[in-house]
Amino acid sequence: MSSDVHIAPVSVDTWLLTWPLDQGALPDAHLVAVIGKLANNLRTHFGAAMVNTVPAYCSLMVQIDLRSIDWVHVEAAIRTWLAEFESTSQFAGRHHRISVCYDPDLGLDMHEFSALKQLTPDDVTAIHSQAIYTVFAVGFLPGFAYLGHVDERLSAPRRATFRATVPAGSVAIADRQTAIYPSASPGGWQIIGRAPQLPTPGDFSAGDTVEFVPIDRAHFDRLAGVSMV
Amino acid sequence: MTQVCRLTRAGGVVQVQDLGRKQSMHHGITESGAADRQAFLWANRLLQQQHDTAMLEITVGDVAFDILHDVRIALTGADLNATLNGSPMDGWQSYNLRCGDTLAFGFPRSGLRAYLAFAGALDWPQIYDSYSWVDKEALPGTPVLKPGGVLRLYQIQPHAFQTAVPTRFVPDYNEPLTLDLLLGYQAHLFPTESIATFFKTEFEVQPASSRMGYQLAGAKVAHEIEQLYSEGIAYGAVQVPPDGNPVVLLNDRQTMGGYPKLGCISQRSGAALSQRLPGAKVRFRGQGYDEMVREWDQMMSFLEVEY
Repeated sequence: MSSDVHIAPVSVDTWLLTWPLDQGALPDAHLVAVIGKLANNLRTHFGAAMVNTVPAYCSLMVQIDLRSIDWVHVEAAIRTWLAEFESTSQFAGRHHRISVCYDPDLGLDMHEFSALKQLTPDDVTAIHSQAIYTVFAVGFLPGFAYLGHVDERLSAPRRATFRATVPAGSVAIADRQTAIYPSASPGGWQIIGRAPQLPTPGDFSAGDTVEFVPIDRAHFDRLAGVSMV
Repeated sequence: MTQVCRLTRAGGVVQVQDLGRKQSMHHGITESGAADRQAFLWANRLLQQQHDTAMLEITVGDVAFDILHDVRIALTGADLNATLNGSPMDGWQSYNLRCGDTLAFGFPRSGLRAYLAFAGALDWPQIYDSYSWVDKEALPGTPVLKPGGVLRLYQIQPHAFQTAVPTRFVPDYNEPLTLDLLLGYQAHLFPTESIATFFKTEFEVQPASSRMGYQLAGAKVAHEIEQLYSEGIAYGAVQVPPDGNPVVLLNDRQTMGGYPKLGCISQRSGAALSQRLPGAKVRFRGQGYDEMVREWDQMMSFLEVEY
């Protein structure tokens, strides 16, 4: 694992660690947990000298404060931690259970999407909520988490036309990924449901796990009402 | 706490900026911060205050303030035809303003973003330990400075002699710009001819450019690299989408992206680029890592950023 990593400077104060993927392979949940743990260790250990860490899929971007530390020391710490991690098989991120209402009134693409996949909306709901997803990355919008891997039966490309505004809380699919829009934003993913409670920055970290719990419309309205208070 | 000025006209954009957020990108929160760090640092140096003290970044201009209290200011960055009570002001120096003065900005003569720093600490909410904010993030508590809005200062500093940046250090934002670029770890994915084209081409800044990124057009930088898994994007990253037109990502860039990248431009190049208007011509030249560090060290130590 540590031997696989490729480390290169990308700018004056920033390095990128990349782990090569086998041809056609999907990013691996264990690897992203390792990357998430490494990022946490870097922030905890180096404090303010660690300006930014961006864990994602099979990479970790590391930005340091050039006024307070040399990269060689950061890299040495990274190699030590990676070697330690090799002897540990499991990293426990946090597990999140997220309520989602799959009512087609809220899942704006549910009808089209289920037709496209030759499934019923109930099938889509069942398949989407049966899996445990891994947080592969957080980015794009504050608190937006890229979750994978969506069951192959639900894999679908982005919509042909971009929506100018995707409602906050929308739960959507693109390829083998799913996500919750934390705020209203332009977007092209296929919307199949809506979460009554919006994620906020800091809720999700790379390596965490997520499962979706289907709720009915009345339950959604009650929770959404509560979260507005 | 003292009311120091009221924004009376906001044709262009007025934002409070410091040197941006730290340790926030893993939450999807962009870096933000002053687009032209060099002009920003000079403004605080003119007022002999902490190098990261928050100030106003005024983009395009067409902005006016009523001054509500005697205050010392510094003005750096773009020449936006600033006037004090109707009389032209020179940039890159400090001024003693009086209660009742009118400070106004017209339209750009040179550059795009002016920095207006006050001697004292702005009373402004912090988000992620920074005074900078990004409208489009719409984070809870995001403050907006609108016409009629008043800025307040803590620890207002008394008037002092006028100070000015020696003219030989004042950048000329109208001169042709060459950006220093460190070729990145993905450059090898581009065809050799495309990289040659990239370094040969004089690109033009496109109107859609912003604090998020500068869009360039010239010769197409052809490649057939497929979308990659999204990864963190560093300041100054040069992305090449399938249309072959490079985009240079700056302060308000998204934290992650999946387009192939040729490399990153230096901090100083990014600052200079952010002062260019649509139509400006830019080129790239290669820079080694050690040279990039040397340039950064020089800028920081010269501007007396605390070590």
